[in-house]
Amino acid sequence: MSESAAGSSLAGTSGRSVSPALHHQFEDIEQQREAGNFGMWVFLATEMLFFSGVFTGYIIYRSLYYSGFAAGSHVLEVDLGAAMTAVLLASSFTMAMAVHAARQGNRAMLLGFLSSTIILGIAFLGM
Amino acid sequence: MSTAIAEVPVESRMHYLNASYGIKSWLFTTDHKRIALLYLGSITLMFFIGGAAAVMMRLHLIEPAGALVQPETYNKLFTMHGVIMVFFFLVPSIPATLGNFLVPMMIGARDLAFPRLNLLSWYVYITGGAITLYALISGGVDTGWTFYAPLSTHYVTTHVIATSLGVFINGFSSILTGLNFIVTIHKMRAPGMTWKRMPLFLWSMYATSVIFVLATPVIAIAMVLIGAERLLHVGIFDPAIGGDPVLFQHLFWFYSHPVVYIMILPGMGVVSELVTCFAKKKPFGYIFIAYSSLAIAMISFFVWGHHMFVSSQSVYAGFIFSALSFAVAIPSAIKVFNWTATLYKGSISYQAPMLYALGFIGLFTMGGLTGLFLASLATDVHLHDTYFVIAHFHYIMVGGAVMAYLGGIHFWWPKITGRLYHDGWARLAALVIFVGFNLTFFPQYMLGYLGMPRRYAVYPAEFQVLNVLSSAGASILGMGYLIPFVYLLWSIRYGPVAGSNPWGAKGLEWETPSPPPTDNFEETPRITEEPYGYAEPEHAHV
Repeated sequence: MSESAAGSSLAGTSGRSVSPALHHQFEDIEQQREAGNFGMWVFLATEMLFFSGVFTGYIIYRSLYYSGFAAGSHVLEVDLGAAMTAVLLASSFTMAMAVHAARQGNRAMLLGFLSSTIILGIAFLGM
Repeated sequence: MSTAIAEVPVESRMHYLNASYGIKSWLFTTDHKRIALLYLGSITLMFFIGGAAAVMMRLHLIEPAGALVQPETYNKLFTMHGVIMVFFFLVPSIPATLGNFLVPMMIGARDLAFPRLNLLSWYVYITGGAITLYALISGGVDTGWTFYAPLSTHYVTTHVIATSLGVFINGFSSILTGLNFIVTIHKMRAPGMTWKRMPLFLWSMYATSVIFVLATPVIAIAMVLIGAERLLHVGIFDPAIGGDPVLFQHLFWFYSHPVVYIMILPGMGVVSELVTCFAKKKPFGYIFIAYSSLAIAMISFFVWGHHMFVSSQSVYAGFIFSALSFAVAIPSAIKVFNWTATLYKGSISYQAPMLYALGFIGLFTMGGLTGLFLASLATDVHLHDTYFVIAHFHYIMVGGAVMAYLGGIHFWWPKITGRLYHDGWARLAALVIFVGFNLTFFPQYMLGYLGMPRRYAVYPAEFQVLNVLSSAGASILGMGYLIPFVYLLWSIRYGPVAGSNPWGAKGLEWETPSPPPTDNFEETPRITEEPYGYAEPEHAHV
């Protein structure tokens, strides 16, 4: 039961063997991880609905003003679009790697990937 | 009241209220029970602000030509009343206070799955509320709570952007609460707490959370599009610049019809608890009440078109939306019949929470049945945008949701504060509210049937008698809301100590002391029985 100071200072955990990463409301790490994953899926569902309004609008206006949308597609800057997509995907990759590093407990790697994600995010906004 | 239970006096025992002191211990708390109280304070403030706007409207309508304010001000008053009451009182009312307090306790957990997210949701609510209040006070907005475009995007010069920004931000507080409840109910149930052993309140919270998560993002994006059109002149809704005003109505009602069920479903959950406790009986048809909550949540997403029967929607779409709206009546009626059947041969006592529950059943039935008038295509053409609509949804939202909210607050008050309020005053208040409510809103059914349109600052002289009756009722209703405010606050300091289970109710939340300790339970409970074991002999929890 000799855990680190962070674990034993958590309220209401006396008598339970706890890891410092375990929040007090969960019974074990397994439950905590499942709750976190499930929460992320629910969040993604809200994101889908959030953008559904914009997509609906897009579909409606694309069918109403088809020629306008077709004309618009000719002035699209393909190079800039491709570069922005690349930056966006690269930032997803560094974020996923940051999560991986956090799971490994590798702090240096975590900070490195998080800061590159932030830099890529700023780069995307600046493009 | 069973005060016979031997218990350590409240003051000498550690619980969530005296675990720490000072303003910081509240503003940085992640305890779901304290966050529930933060919400309780904030929504009560909002309730009285929204109520003040309603009082001024009813005073104004005492005379046909308008007694109090300019027509422009009147427009701002009903907008303020609607925006505050819907987004900042009714939507968070039961979920954010009673839900926050009870969801972890009812499933035997120490807290919600994401306590810090829970605190964040309160700060998001406060931010949205502050922006909206700023907009409403610094000049107001006069579009109605529905923000119909192109009125809201082109014609009015009031604070549309700030108000819609407030509503947009506030939406995320609902989303976070819903997300938290869904994950908590899925993943945090104590050993033995199967889905079918959950209290009915939790089924309704779960159904409400699904709507929070799936509908709220759509109103958020609708508010963003309003802002985009108003600021950047992108033609989305305004036909003059190539937009489609009916698209706004679709987006708005895709959220705002389900939101009606966000307001009423938690109330149904509360009433299910109250009826079983004060009839001392297992609920009749537990599984039907539980599944009907989910059915209501599901169907609620497919009825939004009944707000647009008269705004250029195709007749065939109208048929379908009408039929689906009738379909919602089925699970709602299942609940009403099951509550009634639960009362049958029950050992009923009429304490204050039960009076609210019985009031709910009657008023909700009235509101629900008049909803069918509006869901019928032909009668809706006559009744659309009249006071009949106002009366209908106030019977659901005030007669239903607010009655249930007050019933729930009265029922769990001893658990929340550890104190009992004066039962005589509480019964009197319930009665005054019931009488005042009916006197306020029943005349509005008649006004609407006779053709008085909603949102008008003036009206023909022949409608005066009914309007005066309604205003008189509103003054009684207002008094009725002030009484509980006084005796509940009084009870915190002077009320007798409640004991862990003053009503002899079943459920995990009653097996822990009042007020509960910070971690809710000494050790994680194990559930071995079916819920609502009222038929079995009472065993005292010491």
